[in-house]
Amino acid sequence: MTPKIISERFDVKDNHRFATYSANGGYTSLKKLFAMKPDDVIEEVKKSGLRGRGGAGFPTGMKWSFIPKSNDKPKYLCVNADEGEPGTFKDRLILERDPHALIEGIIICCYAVGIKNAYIYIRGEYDFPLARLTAALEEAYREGYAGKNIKGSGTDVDIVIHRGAGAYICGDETGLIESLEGKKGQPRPKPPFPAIVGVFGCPTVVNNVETISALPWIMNHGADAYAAIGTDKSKGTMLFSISGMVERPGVYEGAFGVNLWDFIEKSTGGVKDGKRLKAVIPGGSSSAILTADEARNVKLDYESIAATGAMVGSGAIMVLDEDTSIVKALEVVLRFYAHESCGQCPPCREGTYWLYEIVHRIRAGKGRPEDVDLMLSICPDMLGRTVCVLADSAAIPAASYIKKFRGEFEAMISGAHAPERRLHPGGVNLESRAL
Amino acid sequence: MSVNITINGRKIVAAEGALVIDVCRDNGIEIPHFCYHPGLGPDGNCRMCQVDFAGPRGNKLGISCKTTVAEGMEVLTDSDAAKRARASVEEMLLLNHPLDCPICDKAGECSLQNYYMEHDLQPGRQDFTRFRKEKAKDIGPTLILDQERCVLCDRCVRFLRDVAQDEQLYIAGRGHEAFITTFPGQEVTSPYSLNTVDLCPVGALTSKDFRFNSATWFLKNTNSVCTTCARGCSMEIQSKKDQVYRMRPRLNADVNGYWACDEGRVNYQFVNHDRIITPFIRRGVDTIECSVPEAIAEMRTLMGFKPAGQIDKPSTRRVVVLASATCTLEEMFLLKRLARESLNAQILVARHVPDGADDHLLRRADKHPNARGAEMLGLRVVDLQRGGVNEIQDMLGGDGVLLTVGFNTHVEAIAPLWSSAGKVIALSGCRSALTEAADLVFPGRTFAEKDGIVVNFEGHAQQLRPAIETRAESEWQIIDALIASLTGALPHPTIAHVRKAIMDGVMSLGGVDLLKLGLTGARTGQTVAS
Repeated sequence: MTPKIISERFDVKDNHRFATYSANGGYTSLKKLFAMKPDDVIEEVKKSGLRGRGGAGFPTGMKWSFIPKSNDKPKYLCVNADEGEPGTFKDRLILERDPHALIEGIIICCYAVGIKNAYIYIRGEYDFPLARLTAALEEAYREGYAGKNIKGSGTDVDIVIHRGAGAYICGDETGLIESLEGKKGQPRPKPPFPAIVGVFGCPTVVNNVETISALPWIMNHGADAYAAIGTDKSKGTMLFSISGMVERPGVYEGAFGVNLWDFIEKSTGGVKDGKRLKAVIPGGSSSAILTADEARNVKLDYESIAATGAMVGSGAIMVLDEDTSIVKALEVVLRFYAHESCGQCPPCREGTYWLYEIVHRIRAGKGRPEDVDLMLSICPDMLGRTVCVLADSAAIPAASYIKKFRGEFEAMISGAHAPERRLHPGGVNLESRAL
Repeated sequence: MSVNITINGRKIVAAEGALVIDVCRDNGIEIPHFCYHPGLGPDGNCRMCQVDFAGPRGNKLGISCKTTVAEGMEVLTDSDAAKRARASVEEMLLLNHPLDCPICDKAGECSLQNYYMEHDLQPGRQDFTRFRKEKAKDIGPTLILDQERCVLCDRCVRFLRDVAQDEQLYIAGRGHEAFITTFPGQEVTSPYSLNTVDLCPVGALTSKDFRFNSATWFLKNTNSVCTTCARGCSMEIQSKKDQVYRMRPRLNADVNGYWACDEGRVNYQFVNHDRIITPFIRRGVDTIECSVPEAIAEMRTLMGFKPAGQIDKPSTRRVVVLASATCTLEEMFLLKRLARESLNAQILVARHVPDGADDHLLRRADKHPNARGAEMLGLRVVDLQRGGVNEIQDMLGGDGVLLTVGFNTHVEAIAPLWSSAGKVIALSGCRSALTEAADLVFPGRTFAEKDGIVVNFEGHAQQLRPAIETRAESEWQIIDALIASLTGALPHPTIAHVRKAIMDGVMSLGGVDLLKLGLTGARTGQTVAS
């Protein structure tokens, strides 16, 4: 049985309130925390093998250790709650149902790294999660779990919630920092990395909500307990947002190392209405696609999925059944990235739109035989050529959808339309809307 | 400290911390770029300067404008991957580019155009309707914006924000819908706005002053100096036949860096019209054109000498020589000799252009290019706006002869003088109220036709070079001829001889060799705090 780490208290009534949270063992990790040296906390997190859950999967403890030890500049924590990757909706649950775990995690991170000011950059559309988080933060201040001298430990952590304004690119760590500074949300060229020059020019840790929320459990149960779950390199558990053509879409916590399709099937009851599985997108819309065979034969961990060319990403698993048009799916994905490109780098600004134009034309029945190869030749010119990975996020799915389902594209171009129904149940009719 | 790197297999020693793109340029390898500019630094958005970096795990593309050199670094600027990366950026930029090169002012000096010639030369694969944005948008007194041509390199935005410190442009919108624009309801009014036209790698920002005036490849470039204020920015004068078309700053780290102000750039119009080419004598309401020797004879008469031959006795009339502080060092030097040694006259250098204001970047309140040069020659500089007029009127004593030199513009400041002088002789290149009032007028040259030296307020000497042709003789030759006619001294054969004489006679030059000023000039020994 998979242990529940993040979603442990999701179903506890009123868990978003301080009284319930603390009655169920909340904030107990702090006692142990304040007894440890900050460097030992970083070591503990390194030992746990916790990796960033925002999409890149970078080892969290290592990220913290890049922060310079000197005290000549203030240091900051930015919690990335700008959950924007299409298909991802797991941070939302944490914010709504377990906001105090996030606050507890923030205290742990800040204590370990020596940070006194934390920002939570929350996605602008998250009204209800924002209300829950704000209320929880007020409680935390009232109860002495935020602000000056937390519970007499001498540790100060001020937490400020900053609301985004609706740009996907502000979920990129440097885009987030720019936006937080009051500028247009555009990623910065790296290096320097945020650990050296981050928000307001100061060393900054940027961590995802889920990453931070896993810290209290690790502190309570020890790094070894966490590292015992999962595989050698992908340790612990992760929240997976499963959507698409499955019986029970939703957020499910899973340990790494299990078979991908088994996990999906056990969690959600398998493909909806007994249809045949066509493909699985394992890590959000910017991931490459897996065919049904690949999905049935791959293990759910960072390394195994990466070996197929796809990624675990933010854990947004999308299931496509036999009636789903891959061409239309790609059109929706590319429309999104063309719309969300910040416009700094030509390969992304122009490339995402160019790809969208071509697939849109194919979908509109005006495709040309050479269009498939044209798209395939554009994709490599977008990979790794830009400031951030948004161009890659469009080029990777485009190339993989075409390579793995080339027949569908060619059929649509030649007029023999592939079966097509919808991308997901209840989805809006995107094609009628102008880009 | 220096580091050893290789560029395309060539071993190169570079300064630690230098940018790869700079090191390449200094070693003769120009890497295409849009957003990087040495005066603005890198931004990293255009992706055009990608080169290959060899590493233990194979080659990796990176932008050369943001990468600093490191010991042992191997740079490949023309590997297949690097060339492909740059060609693809070029292709992406051309996707929505309007391709209106035939009517674009930038054609011929456009980076996008040049890089296309360098990289691709293939027909476009673009086959959708190009994005429409605003064209020929009036965004201020000096600029026209074409958003379709823009490659969104952000240079103009960064210049106005970081250098001019006057943020008046920004990139609005996102993705392929992004565009450069002004803040709502506002215009670009920065006194340095025209630098954005030079910075613009394409024809998105064009100058109202130069727009549609000439194809760029017809223009001749002359390295000269701006004479609009005491800064003396290094400029290139771009001309065709006897007309100046535009002026642009050129790099001079000691004076102006990469920049120049709008005022200086457009201060050439007076060169192109209402010029005086031949001397003339005024007889009542008539003017009689004459030759230079005839004019010299007339001058002698006006000053109370015999019309010809060396002077045997001092003039009976009081003579005041008044030089504009816009005159060159050579002219002032010879005028001093004329006044002190030949005429026994008073000589003053006048500030006659109304003051502006100092600012944080380049512009100086003093609008004369060579007041400092006058001081170095030991000449007294008077300010006509501040009591100088009365002083000179006293010298003239109601019937003296006033010889004015170099007052091409802003002559109204000396109007009280010519009405109170007995006779007025003007050596002037442009028709004005002064030349209408003068009894004798010698032709003159403007900065665009002169060879001469000016010294800026910091004591930096630079050389003006003639950009356009004129039949009018040089001021220094006319002054030299006047001296010759009065004293019998031999005229200087060339201007280099005048410079030699200055170096021999003026101690305050601090060892500067006026014959070897080069393109960016030299700092004279004495400097004053700015």
